[in-house]
Amino acid sequence: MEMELRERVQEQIRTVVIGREREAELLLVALLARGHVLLEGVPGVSKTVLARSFARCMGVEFKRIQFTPDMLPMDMVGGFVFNMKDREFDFRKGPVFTNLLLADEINRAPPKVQSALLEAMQEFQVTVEGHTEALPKPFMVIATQNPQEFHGVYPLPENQLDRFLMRVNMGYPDQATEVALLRRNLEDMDTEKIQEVVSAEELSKIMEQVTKVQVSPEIIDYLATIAKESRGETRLSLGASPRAMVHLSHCARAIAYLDGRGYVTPDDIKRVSVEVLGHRVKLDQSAVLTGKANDPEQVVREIFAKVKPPR
Amino acid sequence: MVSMPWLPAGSTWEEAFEQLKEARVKADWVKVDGALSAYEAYRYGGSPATVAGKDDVVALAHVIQKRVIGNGAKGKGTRAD
Repeated sequence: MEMELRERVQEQIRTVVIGREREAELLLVALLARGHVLLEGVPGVSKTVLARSFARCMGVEFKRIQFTPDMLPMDMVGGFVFNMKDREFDFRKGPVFTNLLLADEINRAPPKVQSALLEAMQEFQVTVEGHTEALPKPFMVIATQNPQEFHGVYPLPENQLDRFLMRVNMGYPDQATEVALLRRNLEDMDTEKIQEVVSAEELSKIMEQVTKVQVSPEIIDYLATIAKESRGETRLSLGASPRAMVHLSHCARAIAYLDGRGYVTPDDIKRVSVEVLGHRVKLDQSAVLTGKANDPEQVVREIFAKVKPPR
Repeated sequence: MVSMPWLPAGSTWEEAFEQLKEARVKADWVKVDGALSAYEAYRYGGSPATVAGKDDVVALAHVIQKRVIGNGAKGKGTRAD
């Protein structure tokens, strides 16, 4: 079944979203690795439809929050409401209490709302006025943002970006995909027709099995060397954090599981290296000004091209 | 890997084999891929070592050597890693 899970998810998503097989795989890897994803792309590249389709495949509860500059943390996490009958304050859960949360245009929300969400992402619980409530399991946030916006946005700071397991850049489709998209009736993007690929119960078991995938000492050394190289890289002012490397190993485990293996190989690490590390490293300004670097993801690729994997 | 000096130091066996497949290097790729899987299971998964597919990997190394020398890489990549 493991060998088929990825293909079955991709097949279902393909019925609604064309040409996003790689992104669908990354969402699945992130879910199995118990992480959150930041989908970055200009408007109209199917970010929201992809997230909604993915949730339907997984058979889990899905909610969407459209972030706006006038939002308050309680709009998302919930708050205490006075119950006239019992004459007591009851906690009313906000939309964050779901399995898969689409945080649409996260960079439109003010920092207080962003940090409330990011706390939920990190702790898998929310605390309101001393009252702590655990979030449902699994809990995954798929946040979206448009990197081209400059007005009325609050960019996520580095420490908050670090909470995202992956950042997935959703560019424009290639010409063949664009043609296929135009040929298909644009109204035919009904996510209701997507069939459930796995039940919530099965998903929970799979996630447990992923944690048992073996990461050999050589692979751990390889990860540590990558981290060291990134921190010593002169074109970067901020290298990979320890959390980034832990996240990378979790993703590699999920990939190995989806490939039907009980152990991680260096290829598993490399397959998601750009998505896991690209948004966490920061280019050094002098490297940018002198033209030595202009893309952090390219620097990550070059580090991986330089560090010898265990062979 | 020594037989493929054009590859970056950070390349894996899978990446090396992918390049060779793209270059249409003749080999029994089913057996070579099988040998790689068995090797990885041993190397990273603690499975028992096996010699299955060894001859096909050696044959592949010879093909690469001829190509490298034929391309004028004088003395480089003349033995399998």
